[in-house]
Amino acid sequence: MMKQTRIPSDTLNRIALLAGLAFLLSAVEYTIPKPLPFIRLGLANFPILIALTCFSPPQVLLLVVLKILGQGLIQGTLFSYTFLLSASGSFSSALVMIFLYRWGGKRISLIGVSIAGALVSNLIQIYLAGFLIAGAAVALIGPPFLIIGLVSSVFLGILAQRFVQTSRWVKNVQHMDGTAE
Amino acid sequence: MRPRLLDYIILSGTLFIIGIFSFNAYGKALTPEECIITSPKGTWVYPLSKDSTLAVDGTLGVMEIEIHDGKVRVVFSPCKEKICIQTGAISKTGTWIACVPNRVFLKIEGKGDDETDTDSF
Repeated sequence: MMKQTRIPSDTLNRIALLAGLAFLLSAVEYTIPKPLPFIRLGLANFPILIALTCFSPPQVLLLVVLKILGQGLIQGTLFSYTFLLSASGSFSSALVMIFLYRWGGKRISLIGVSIAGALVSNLIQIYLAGFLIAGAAVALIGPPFLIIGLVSSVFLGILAQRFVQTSRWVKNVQHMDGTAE
Repeated sequence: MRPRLLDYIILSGTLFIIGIFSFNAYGKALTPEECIITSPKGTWVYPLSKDSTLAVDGTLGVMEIEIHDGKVRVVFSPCKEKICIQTGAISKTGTWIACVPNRVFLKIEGKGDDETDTDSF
């Protein structure tokens, strides 16, 4: 028998709340017009940044999976190759963000975590897009793609850092079950 | 709330990567690579990076073409109108000089793919 890992229902509720927020932000982002469909603001990364400070790595990954599925559903790309791109981008960026947040400790804030997450996600997507669809021409949209990602990730990072420092909701979660399990 | 050490390191690393990407994407693509010369006697390709003076045979006579500092111009042509000489020096991908009476055509082409059509995305 496999050992079952239990997530307390309190924690599960909070993850679900953040997942709901991620869905909402995906829908908001979907309504913002973009010159190119590949360009993303990454608003839905906000709940993930918050989750880093509240939950253990496996719980954060659970939230990431929920976010990826929800985003695919809302944007209607769930069974297309764009979904493959965004899923692998989100997942690898989540792994990098978890690592940086744990390893960086006091030397890093959510701003740096956010920038690195956006960069990794975008690099992976550029690489895969070049590999799967468009070929070498993808290199031409690379720089604007990365610059927009940088700008929006700085803003999201600042927002998330402020939120975490002032939110009573976050404080409650952190006191209840500690930042790590 | 103040950014911390690793934040700055990550920010500068990201800017560095964006720099590399921009250079790869635009730096090379905008550098014209070669000059293609078409005449009744045949077609030749010359690199723009090497300075040289060429004599090309046209239907009227020998035409003198100079490649210098990545630019191409017609120095002498036996034709009447001398429009090819007045065109001056060209250096950008896609630009050309034509001498119709002498049936000589010069065109600059980049080595890589053609410009990407954003509509295809």
